[in-house]
Amino acid sequence: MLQIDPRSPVPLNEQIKASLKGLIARGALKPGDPAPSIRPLAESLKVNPNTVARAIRELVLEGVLETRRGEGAFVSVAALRKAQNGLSDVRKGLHEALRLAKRGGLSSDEISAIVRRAQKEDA
Amino acid sequence: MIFPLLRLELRQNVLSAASVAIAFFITLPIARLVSAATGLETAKALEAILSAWILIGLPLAAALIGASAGARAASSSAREREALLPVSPARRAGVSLGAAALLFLMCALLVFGTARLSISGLFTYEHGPLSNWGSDFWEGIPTSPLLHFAALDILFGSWLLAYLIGHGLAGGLLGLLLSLSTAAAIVCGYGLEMIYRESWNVSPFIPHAVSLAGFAVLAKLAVVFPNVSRRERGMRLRPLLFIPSLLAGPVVSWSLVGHVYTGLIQNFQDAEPSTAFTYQSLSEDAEASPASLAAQGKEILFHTARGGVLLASKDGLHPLIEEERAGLLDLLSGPYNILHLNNSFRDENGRLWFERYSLFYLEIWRVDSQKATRLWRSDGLYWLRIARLARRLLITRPGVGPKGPSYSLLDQYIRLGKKAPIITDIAAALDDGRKSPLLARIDCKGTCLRRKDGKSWRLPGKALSRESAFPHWAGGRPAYLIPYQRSNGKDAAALCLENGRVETIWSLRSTKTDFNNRFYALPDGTLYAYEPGDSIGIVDADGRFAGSLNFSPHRGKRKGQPDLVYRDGGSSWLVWDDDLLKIGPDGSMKAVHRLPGPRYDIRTMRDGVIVNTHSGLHFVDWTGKARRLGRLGV
Amino acid sequence: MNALSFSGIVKSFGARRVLDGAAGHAKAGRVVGLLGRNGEGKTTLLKILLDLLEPEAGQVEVLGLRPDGSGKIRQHVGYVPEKPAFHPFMTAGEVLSLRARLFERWDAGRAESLCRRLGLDLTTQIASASKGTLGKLAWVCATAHDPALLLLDEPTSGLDVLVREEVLSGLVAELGEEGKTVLVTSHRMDEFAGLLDEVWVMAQGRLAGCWPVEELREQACVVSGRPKEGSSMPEISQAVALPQEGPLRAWAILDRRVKERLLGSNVLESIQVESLPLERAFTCLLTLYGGQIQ
Repeated sequence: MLQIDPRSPVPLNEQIKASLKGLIARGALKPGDPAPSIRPLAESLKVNPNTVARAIRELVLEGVLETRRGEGAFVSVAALRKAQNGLSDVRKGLHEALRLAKRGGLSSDEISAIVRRAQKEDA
Repeated sequence: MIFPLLRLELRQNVLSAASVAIAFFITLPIARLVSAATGLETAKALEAILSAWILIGLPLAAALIGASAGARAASSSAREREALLPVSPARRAGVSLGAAALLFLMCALLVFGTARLSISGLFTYEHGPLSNWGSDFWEGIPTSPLLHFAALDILFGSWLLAYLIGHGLAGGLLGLLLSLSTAAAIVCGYGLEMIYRESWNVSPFIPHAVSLAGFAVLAKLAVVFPNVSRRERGMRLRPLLFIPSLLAGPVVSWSLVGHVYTGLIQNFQDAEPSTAFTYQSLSEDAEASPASLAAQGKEILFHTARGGVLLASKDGLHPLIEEERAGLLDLLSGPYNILHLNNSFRDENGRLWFERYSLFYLEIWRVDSQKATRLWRSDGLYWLRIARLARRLLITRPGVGPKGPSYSLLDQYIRLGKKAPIITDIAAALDDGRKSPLLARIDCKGTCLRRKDGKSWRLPGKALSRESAFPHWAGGRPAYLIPYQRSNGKDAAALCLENGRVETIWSLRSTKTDFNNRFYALPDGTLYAYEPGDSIGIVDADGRFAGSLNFSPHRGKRKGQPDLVYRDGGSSWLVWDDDLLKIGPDGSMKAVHRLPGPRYDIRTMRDGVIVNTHSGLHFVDWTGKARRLGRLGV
Repeated sequence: MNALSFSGIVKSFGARRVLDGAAGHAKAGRVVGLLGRNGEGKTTLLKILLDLLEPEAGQVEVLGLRPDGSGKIRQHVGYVPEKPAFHPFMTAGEVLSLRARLFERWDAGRAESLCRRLGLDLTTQIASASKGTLGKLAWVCATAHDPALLLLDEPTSGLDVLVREEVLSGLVAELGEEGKTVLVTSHRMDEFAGLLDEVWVMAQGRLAGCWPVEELREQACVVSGRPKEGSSMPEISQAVALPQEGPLRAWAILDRRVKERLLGSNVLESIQVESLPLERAFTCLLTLYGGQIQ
């Protein structure tokens, strides 16, 4: 399910996009599925519908979603590839973070502990 | 937009109005208790209670309803609940005021409606003075519904103050105070009317009261709305706005009748003798001592506005009590000082007695060889109230016989030496009246009149009412006037005289009002009354019906109706407007004499009339010759 | 086009000056959070916008109208007060039908569907209604006439979790419509954080600061470190100094430039930068402008 973290510094529309891409990458949303409706999504996430609308718009611009006239937005055919591409940035970011951590003086054990904790949170 | 709000306000404020209505209904059966305790007729007790409601209860109800509505409108809970509605504070206040006024008017309708019902026979008191909207019980203070514009002023004032203070009780009391200025102005206006009643042709009291109250209400509304808006919107109030609200009443009053007030004050301050406003003839209900009988129509007592008392006859004026320099306080108690000389008569020894009372005291005076001495004075209002109460309860002047007791303080005082038993309660006064030997009952299934001492008269038909009757007085002798129904179905009156005669007066028809009001007596015992169609029916001193005198041919430019002042040998003398007219036995005008004027009033004596004018007292005999007796206040 | 604007607002209650030259404006469609400590004038400002209070000085314009005391503005504004109050002898249904007759744009169908959605029983007597019921009723009263401006004063305080959820969903639903402007005050502003475009901070009787929320979300952080030997601590305005932990010092910083300035001043070592969640960022805003608590 789409989620946002209110404590995260990442802008909300970015979080929504990332979450949507994550669903597509996992295969929960397949090409051809309709994109989530703005209103219900906004209500469940407790965010401004404009924010959701903006995220959807940007995903359309990125090509992850496509609009069909009169029928709204749908997951595009190329979505899977694009989502995974998007994930490469996340991978890069994670790598960089680990490098920073090591440089900063964290031991491997400490790093592992953090990773384990983060994974637990997701589950 | 207003109706849903109005419904809401009515719903919120209905409790105060409902409690007034409930209180009203509870007091009505109390009439029964009062009647049982005091012996008063139930209907009379009911009249008293209704009068109390009209004069006191409704103004208090106005304060209650107004103040509770105002306090509620000002409460923070009201504001919290209603502020968010898209209605301005001024409109909300207006609706609250309107609801309060509507609720009060419904209570007023209830009270006045019930009062009206009581005189249409529902409670069997057919002669109720409430039918004239003048309460007999309360000394003629008008109980007209029109008076209750003043109560609306109280409603608005209480609402306003309760709203601004935010407290119901305080607001109500202060609102009553705020309306005092209006009420005082109305009362002053009424006092003026009483003073000038006989010389004014118009009755300005009601227009005065209505316009006063109207302006006072408008002034209060002018204070309400600006202050409501300010208060709700967190701004400071403008207390100076109150001043127009306080002053509106007196200012309007002054501008309407102020010149009369100043004239009165002028009068009092002047060294010139003041005008007399009324006088008292030798009492018709006094003991019929020979001296009294002889004095009837020969002497008359005058009382001036400044406390002077004079004895007037065709021979001149004789001062008994000197005038005093009157202060402003006397001006206020003036009407009562002026209007009430009472119970004057000559005793067996020929000495003159009279009672004199004002708002504050009751006095008994005796005149010995032209010198008047005050023998007794009451303290406080108490005696006055009792004496008046007793008089009212007994409807008319009860008879005084040589043996019987009477209500009159003076008579008791004289009769029993100096130890006059004081009338301490209504029951005693009533008892006295009931025990009066002159009270007569309708008996024999409505066909005869019977008196306690055994004297009875057979009526020519069936009496219209079973009420006991007090006699009418003419020439020092009692006469009973009993309305009855003739065999042809028409109404007539039977005159039952002391000598046993029963005279039918078929043209003087009875109505539901008190019979005594319809008959006028001349000093020699002649009776007359106005018949429909511009004529006067005359009953001569022996009790014989002397026919009708049609006065319309003699009208000319004159207004109203003439007074019969004398009859002699078939000729009649009339006073009509400013003239003394002599009408011959054939109904034609024999002589016209212009009377001195402009006059305050005129009194009929045996040998002529005494006319009280601006320039003094004049005696005019039956030939029209006028003689100036002198000025009052000398 | 401004949905509301005000300037130079002065309002005192007795001797206390609650608003002292407050000024601000909001464009149509914006969602604004009003932050401020108790007594800083938030409710007073809202009441002035609602034409319930008259300021001693200043100009106010709401939806193109000037408040004039007549209450006409309230036809177009919805207000949920902190403590909703209704006549105790009425039922919820009567409360709504009274308003239906007074508000020109009252939509009975919308009101009905709102009641259904919120689970509001129209036959409930106000006198015996729970806080949650009153909150729901207040919500319906504030929105059924389709106002272009919503003013919400602590709309979720005192309500249980479920009702709060419903109110929030309801608010989001309102925002779906074009151009609705919202001004909301809350002590739990983080609840609304997802909806806000900007926050206003009220302090010292005026609008002391105006912060776009998304920027705040990205830029709010805590910078901690150990002051270098021999260096003097720079004066950092626009940051809230946090309690010292031994030799370590830390600051809550809301603006990226301030953070960069601090880092660039090179007076700290072993620097750690953590993002500051919005909830804490709002508290810092209050401290920054109010300057009393830590």
